[in-house]
Amino acid sequence: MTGQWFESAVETRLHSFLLIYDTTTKISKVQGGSKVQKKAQNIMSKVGVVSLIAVTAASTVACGTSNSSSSGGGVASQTVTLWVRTGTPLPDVVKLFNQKLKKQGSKYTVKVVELPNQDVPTKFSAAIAANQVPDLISMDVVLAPYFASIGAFKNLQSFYNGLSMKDQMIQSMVNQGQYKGGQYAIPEDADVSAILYNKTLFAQAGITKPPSNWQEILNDAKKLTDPAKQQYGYVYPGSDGGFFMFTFLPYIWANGGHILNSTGTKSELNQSSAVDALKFFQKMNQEGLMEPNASAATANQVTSMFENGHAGMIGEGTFMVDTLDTQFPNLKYGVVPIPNADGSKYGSFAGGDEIAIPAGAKNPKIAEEFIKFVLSPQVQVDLFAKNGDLPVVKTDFQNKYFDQNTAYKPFLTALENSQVPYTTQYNQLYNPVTSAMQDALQNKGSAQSIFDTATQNINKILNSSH
Amino acid sequence: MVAVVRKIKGALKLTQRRGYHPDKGFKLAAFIFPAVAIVVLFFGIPLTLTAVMSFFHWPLNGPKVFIGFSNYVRAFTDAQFWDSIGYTALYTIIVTPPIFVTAFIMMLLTERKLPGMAIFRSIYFVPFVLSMVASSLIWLNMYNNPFGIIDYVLSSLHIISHPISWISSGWMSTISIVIMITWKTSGFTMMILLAGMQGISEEVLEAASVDGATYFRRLIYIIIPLLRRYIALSLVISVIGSFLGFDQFFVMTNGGPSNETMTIVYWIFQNAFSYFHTGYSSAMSVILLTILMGITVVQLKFLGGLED
Repeated sequence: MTGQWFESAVETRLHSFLLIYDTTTKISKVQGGSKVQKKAQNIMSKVGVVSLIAVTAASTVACGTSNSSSSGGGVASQTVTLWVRTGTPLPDVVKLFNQKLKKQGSKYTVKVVELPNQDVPTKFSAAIAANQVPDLISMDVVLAPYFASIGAFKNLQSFYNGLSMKDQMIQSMVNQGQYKGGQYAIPEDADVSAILYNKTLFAQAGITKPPSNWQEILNDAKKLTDPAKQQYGYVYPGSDGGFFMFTFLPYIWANGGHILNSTGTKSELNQSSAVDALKFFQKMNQEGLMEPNASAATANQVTSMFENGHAGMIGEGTFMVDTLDTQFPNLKYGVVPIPNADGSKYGSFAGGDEIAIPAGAKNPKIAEEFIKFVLSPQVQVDLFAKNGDLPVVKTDFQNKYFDQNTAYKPFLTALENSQVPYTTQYNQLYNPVTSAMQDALQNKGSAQSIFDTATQNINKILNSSH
Repeated sequence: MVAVVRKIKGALKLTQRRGYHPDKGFKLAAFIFPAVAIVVLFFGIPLTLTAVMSFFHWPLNGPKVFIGFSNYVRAFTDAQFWDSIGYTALYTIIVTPPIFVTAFIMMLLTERKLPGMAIFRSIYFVPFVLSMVASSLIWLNMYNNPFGIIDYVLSSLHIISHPISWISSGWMSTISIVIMITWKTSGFTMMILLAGMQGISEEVLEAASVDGATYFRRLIYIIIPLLRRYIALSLVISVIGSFLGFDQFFVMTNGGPSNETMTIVYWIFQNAFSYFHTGYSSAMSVILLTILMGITVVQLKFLGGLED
């Protein structure tokens, strides 16, 4: 979306250039005439140049100011608008909820607006600025603290207190919805990380059981790697900050380390437990067990390698189970939780979505009803679990759908050990951690020195006030 | 002041001599108004607002606080801002010559009035019609190591023995992007130059031939001088477009590795839309505007000096 918008701005600018430049050059080409005329031409020419520059700059800087939302804001009294990122199961929930409302003879209808993941904060920001917020918004769990901190969400503390299943919800996700003692967002669906491995490649390499500690991952990766077949033991996209958070941080957590301290005010990446995890990745890469050029690889590239049988292991999320089962039915894969160095503990990232009612939303009562519906077993089990999404209510973990598919069991273990960094500046952490991992995979320094630098950079961000 | 009044009076007399009547002014204004309104609405107002925001701490929600030049001071002390400016300038310097030279050669090849030449012109122009995001994705996959088609072809032809990591270090990534952008935008520059070429009288070239001028001499002493307005235009567009490079970096390198390919527009984008530092990103935009104004004025002044 952003790319398309930007491109159209650039194209508009180019056409403007041509028009203005042509006008100015045509004027300046007029031969003869008085001195006044020539001066006038000169002035016009300069005006043209300044206009040209202004048009250029304006269309560039416009990206910092104008990105208005045309959909969903300013709802009619009987329509409740819900914004979600694409890929969440909520559109199906809305259908069920609307059926329920119809049966009850309610005047309300929920309308769902799907937005690309990266556009959710931008569009929502524009909606806040324009005072045209939707009635409900569902967003990536990591963004909730920021929007809660700027007062974009209604405080749902009393509503949360009244929820019968509140003590059964995943605590790390509940924490993400909190800010200064208030509950501003509620967990909706979960997606945790684990290691996926290719059972066929494991069998071909003579490996009889999945890895349970770092040494086993390393040994297995050695046996699985065969560059002649373009086959690699463990694949990782170094260019993707999201993958760092989702699939590398769990190694640090499992090993007893953290990216941030408990108050989210200081980075702890330079501690030995975190540095050891980076050393482990550096070693795998140095020994050629990762794909060539892992530092620049993208998430799509490595995922595609795993899907097409070119990767022995990859860190991925729950959502992959459904993708692999439906789109790659011939791929035999297994799942294991991400272990620490000696395999005594596990780590996982508690991803997923939180749902909130924006401050100033016009239909909070029906919005709260919708959230209650999302948390009901009818949705958490019969819709989410059935479609391969993890419920956020622990009592719903054991269900007939997960019992039928063994791939989910390790994810449930991962879920119990899952964490998510709490910070209102989460998006800003992508840059230093991605740079750190890329430096490590390009052997630009020791793991300790790389994480020392990353720690300094993160602390600088956490200390910044803007 | 007196001189200015005289100039205005002179200009008015000039227009009157050309048959100007006051009621014609309204008609002219009516024609111009839509264009002016669009420019004011979509460029003038956002530009003004950006300039205003650059002096504020401007959160998405809550009170906006006037902080004077703090955002500008922050920009001038932000190492990444200067790194991005430096990289963008370097990228612009690197990418402009190949685009122009390729376009110029393509123009010389396709300007001849031979049967089927229009097909070649269309083929060369087609990449420009593709969206930048789509082009970037296509090339990203072509550069893929070890599955990309470029490495496959080079290996098959025994030109390379090991796959090349095209998108890897800062330098390799830059070279890869320069190749892609040259492929993508040369066709557009070629069209500008072709338009200029159409305006060169065949008689002039024929007369030079009769006088014994070789093709090379005709190119140097007739074609290039007569094309200079078009060359100037294409270079201005190319330089500004390169300085505003974003999509290709967003898709192909994410500004990496380790921020080595972080262009200034990408850094502004990150601050505005990922970090929500609206005031700060506005200040950087204003600085970028100033830099671009300077570059364009210098460029046009230099190239304009070549005119009659």
